[in-house]
Amino acid sequence: MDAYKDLIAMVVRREMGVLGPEKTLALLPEAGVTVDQKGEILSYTGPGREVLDKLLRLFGERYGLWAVLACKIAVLKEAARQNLALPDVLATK
Amino acid sequence: MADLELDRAVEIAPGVYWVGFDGESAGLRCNPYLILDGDEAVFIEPGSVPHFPIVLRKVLSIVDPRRIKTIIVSHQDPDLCAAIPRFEEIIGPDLKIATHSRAAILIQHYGLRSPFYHVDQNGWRLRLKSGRELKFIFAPYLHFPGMFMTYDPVTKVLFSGDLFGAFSYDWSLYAGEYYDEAMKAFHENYMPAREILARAMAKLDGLEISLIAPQHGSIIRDNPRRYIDILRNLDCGDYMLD
Repeated sequence: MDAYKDLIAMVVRREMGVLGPEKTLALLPEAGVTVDQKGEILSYTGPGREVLDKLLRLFGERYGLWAVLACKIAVLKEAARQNLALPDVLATK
Repeated sequence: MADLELDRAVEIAPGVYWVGFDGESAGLRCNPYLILDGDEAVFIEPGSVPHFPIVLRKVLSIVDPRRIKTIIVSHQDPDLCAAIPRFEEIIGPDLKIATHSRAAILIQHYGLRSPFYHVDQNGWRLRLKSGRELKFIFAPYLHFPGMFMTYDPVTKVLFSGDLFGAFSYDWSLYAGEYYDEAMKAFHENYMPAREILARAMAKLDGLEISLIAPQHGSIIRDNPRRYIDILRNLDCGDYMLD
């Protein structure tokens, strides 16, 4: 795992609140993210920026625009704080 | 929670009823409330036109609408105000609309016929016929310049308007384990800045609160102070991100 772990964890936590644990946890394997039962990140496959991008795209495709917008501001601010490049999906939403 | 019959009005505190609805896929549910006080009733944030039939059915199930003397609306948005003209036809001529003067000037465009009770011109309180007083707490720019919350000192319920609301595709009447995240998502998108939000939260310090009843999302009954502290420290708004 790399510097994007915190951002990925932030998105997972946020979707647990907005979409609920069931929908959130069911989607994570498609993005290559493994979590424990409480949603804590155990691992993910691939570069963090790409995983984050895929995760947000999947939530958006499956549950609509607000599944992305619900995370957007928090991710933008945290990425800026950590000086991390944004996932592509947030540049277009 | 599993025992609640959400197709009916739910008494959330003595004489205070949630008359909202479940069963929508919408992420932003609306929560109208009704306070019964003797032979008088106060209707808080009545709701939108599509939800009018459901809300009306629940109101009729607990009160003769002619007993409603005041509708309180925390701001002018259609999700809480658009149904007012329809309710006016049922409630009758003694109704008044309590809101901030900054909101009233906009709300009149819904074509209301009831007079306004400007909370900012009346000592930030509303006295009911019984002598019971509802108190209004000014929360400007959250998200409207005339936004206010309503506090009932009898039941200690805080009707918080958009504050403490949430995006809630996974909705429940009472806030669950992950509600703070849904609440943050809403405030990050709709509230302007941390400093403004923190200032409003400071006004709740020292206030005894049993329940927080927001206009969107879920009712907060477990440890309301925890949620106040979350909003006090939330970095909301995106005006500096451009």
